[in-house]
Amino acid sequence: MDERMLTFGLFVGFVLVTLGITVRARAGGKGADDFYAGGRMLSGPRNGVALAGDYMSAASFLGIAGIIALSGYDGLLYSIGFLVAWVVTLPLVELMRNTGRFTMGDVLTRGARGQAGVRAAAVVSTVTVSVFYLLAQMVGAGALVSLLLGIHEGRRFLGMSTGTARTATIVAVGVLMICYVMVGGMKATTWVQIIKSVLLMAGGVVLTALVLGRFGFDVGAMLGSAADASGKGADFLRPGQRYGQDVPGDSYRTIVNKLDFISLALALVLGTAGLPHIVNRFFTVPDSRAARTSVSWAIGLIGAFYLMTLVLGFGAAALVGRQAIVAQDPSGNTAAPQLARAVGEHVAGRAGGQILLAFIGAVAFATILAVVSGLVLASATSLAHDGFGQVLMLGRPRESQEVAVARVASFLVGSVAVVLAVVAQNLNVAFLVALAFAMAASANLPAIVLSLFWRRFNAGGVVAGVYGGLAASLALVLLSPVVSGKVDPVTGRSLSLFPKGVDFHLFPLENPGLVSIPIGFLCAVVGTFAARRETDPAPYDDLAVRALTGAGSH
Amino acid sequence: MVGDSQPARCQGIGRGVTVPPGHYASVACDERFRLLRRRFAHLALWVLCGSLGWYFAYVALSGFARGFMARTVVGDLNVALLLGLLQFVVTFALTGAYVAYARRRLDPLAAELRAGPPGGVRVPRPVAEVRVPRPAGGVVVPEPRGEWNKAVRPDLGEVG
Repeated sequence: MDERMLTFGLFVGFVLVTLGITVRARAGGKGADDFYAGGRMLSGPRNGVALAGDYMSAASFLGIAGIIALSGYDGLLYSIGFLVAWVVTLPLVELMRNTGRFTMGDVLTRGARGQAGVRAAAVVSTVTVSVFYLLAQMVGAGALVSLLLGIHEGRRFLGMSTGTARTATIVAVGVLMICYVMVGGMKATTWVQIIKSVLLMAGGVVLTALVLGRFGFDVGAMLGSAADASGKGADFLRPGQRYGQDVPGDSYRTIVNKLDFISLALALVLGTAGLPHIVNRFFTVPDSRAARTSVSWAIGLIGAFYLMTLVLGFGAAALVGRQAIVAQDPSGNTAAPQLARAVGEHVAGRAGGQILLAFIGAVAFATILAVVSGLVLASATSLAHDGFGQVLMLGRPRESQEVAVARVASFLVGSVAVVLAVVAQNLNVAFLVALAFAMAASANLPAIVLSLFWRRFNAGGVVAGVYGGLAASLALVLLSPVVSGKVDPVTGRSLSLFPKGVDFHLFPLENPGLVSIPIGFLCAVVGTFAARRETDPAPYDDLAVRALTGAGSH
Repeated sequence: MVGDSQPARCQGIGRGVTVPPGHYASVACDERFRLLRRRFAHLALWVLCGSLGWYFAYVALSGFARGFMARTVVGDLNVALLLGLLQFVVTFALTGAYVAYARRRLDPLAAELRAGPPGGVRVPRPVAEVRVPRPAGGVVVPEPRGEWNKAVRPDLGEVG
């Protein structure tokens, strides 16, 4: 049988199972607690598995394995940033769980009703971050399908050409994610995440074992062989192939590269605690202790998974080889599936290779589908709960009304994301994930941290901090070499979003975090003092007590 | 929350000021709450300084001390790979320590505070307008016993 049909069949199986669960979840409960927070009765470990599912996007799975396969050691630097970020989240998670109800907006208003400005800022930032992240995932899905299903120019799949198949994939992923969220809310999304997490871990363990088996379970031998095959020798196992490159004879470029690397590290490590789809998952557990447990489970799973991607990446460099990987996809996203085919073939011949490739391909689709569902749910929750319930209805919406709005909002956000992804499908959008992290770190994190820890912080500070951080990160990216003015010195082709010749870049770094995160904090502080009237300590003391003891939490 | 062990308001209570209308604000003066707050602050500070400090030290070494990172330890294993793997170890260890400490030293205190203060004097609601007289022996915040934590919070009533 054709491996493309096998991949397709496995993926359809995943979709059918998760849709079945979605319909069952629909039958379960229809209240706001159910739709936004899965009834708030998820156990810590279960929510931890779902958190890991929400977090390990295609960028983590395919992207990091690809970066390691092509750039060696620097891929590890990237994954460590993603992991250490969770320790930053750890002290925040219980406080947020205790003070918020459904969204980040609840935490920022210190649990009080109303505060339209704060709620509106929360909606704007949640939706912006989610849509950028969403776009990256969906365009990635489109690109992935043509690679995984082996649709090249001239080849057809189910009667579709490459372009049609891409568009069809994006639309299909969009329709599915809207289905999960609209029908099943948080419960269905959680189950999609859990199943996807289990599949991803299983796929990772099988592949890792097979790769290590090829080297007699000798990691040193694998590293040596990867370094030899890369053509870069020992440098392949050292930092500097990709991030913070030294440019001989050009100290300005060298410094810019290093600062860019530090900026990326900062955004990765501080962004996680402000990602809307992660934050919303803190509210699905019954108490702060379960919230803590879920984060520690997520750390365990994500750490274990990144250790496996290390083996996958170096394994792909050794067993598949740089040339074969670049021939499939210049950015290396297909390294893991290609590795699956290679080790499968070694173990069980051609059929084995096809089966393993099909399995890993289906896992990659499931990964994308799960992450986009989480993002759509986060946006819809914020639009309905903060925007409709607290701003438009002045904090007194009917519960059924608010949930109905949430369903409509998920349809709208999902549709907008599909349209944008179809339009942007030929652009290089790899930077969007890093941008989403930078925006989350610059706009959301200052507001969250200062709300929880600074007595004098007030609504003016939240509004200024959120808009300031958001605007700073967006403006800096617009003016960066990512958007215009970066040219490949060898081929002379444009590496930016705009074609060669258009150059309006003023900011030298590709990652805005180093500048935009301090701006976010600064705006929050300035806004607080500008808006300060009388300091009333009671709301803060109230928040502090609720945050630390869990008294009066939902 | 971090670092201020004595909220300004608690110093004022003895002088007979108005208890402000935060529903739980008065608990902030409870000695046990201040202990909980101190412990949490220390825990969070240690874990954050440990993980972020170690992470940025590692990032800085990767960026600026390439010669050091390239040194061989055993076979193909160099300092960079070793430190990278240590990041995983440190992350897991800090998480474990955080969870263990929180379970042992924070959760029992929080549960005690949630259950309501001991020996509080029953005060008629609403708390907002009550003038607290200077207590004879130290700062005691009067609060009704029992279900005080579920008491009138109109904003929570309807869905939760």
